[in-house]
Amino acid sequence: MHSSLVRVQNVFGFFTTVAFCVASLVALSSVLFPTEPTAGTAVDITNFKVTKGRVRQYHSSKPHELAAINFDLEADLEPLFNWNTKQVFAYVSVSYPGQKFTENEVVIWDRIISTPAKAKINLKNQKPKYKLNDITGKMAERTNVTLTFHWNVQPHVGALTWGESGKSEPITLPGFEKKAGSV
Amino acid sequence: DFEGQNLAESLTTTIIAFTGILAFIAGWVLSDLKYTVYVGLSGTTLAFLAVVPPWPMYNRNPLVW
Repeated sequence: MHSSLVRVQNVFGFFTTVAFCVASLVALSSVLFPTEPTAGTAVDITNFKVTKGRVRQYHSSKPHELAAINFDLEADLEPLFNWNTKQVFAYVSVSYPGQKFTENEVVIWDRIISTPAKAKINLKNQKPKYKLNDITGKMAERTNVTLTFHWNVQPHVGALTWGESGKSEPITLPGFEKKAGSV
Repeated sequence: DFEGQNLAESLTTTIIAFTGILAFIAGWVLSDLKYTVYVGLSGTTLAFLAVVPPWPMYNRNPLVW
């Protein structure tokens, strides 16, 4: 503490130590007081049209069958927001068993929620954001296909947490419809 | 001015530790992390201002050559 430079160094050093302690306390508070969304979430599949056409997927040479599953989603994620929540990432995924790979899960829709005011989701007959196809190329007539709603809380400081709240009834995808004029 | 050095060191420790506690409480009660950050940073600035410039209070017992 004998010169100004030494004092600057000491003050800053202690500041980083205290900042680290406060941050770890904040992260700990998220673990000790966890948040759960309310039970009012419902996922329903409405309109499913499958395999409307064949599209070349970027990593494969043969065309793949696409499935398009529209859905209704109603969820209230407002209880997930505490002081340590930076944003909540909500996504809907389709999961189905297969022969080559026993469990498949594909994300078809997601949304980033950054404030509690936007945390209510109410979608009707929502079209998926992303393509749904399988690595074997076959999506026609798959059985036991379910939609699940997941959320992922991303805090300011601390560990990420995931959760699942809402599963639809299993459906069976119909057969293949060729687009008019496609190969 | 060893006494001054002691004073400077105890001042920084108490100011910054107290600021850390206050910052955590402020953020917790007001339920928003940005208050924690603001309180923490302003307290640290206060600590810097109190300790780094050579105020005369640190030189009350100068060394006698």
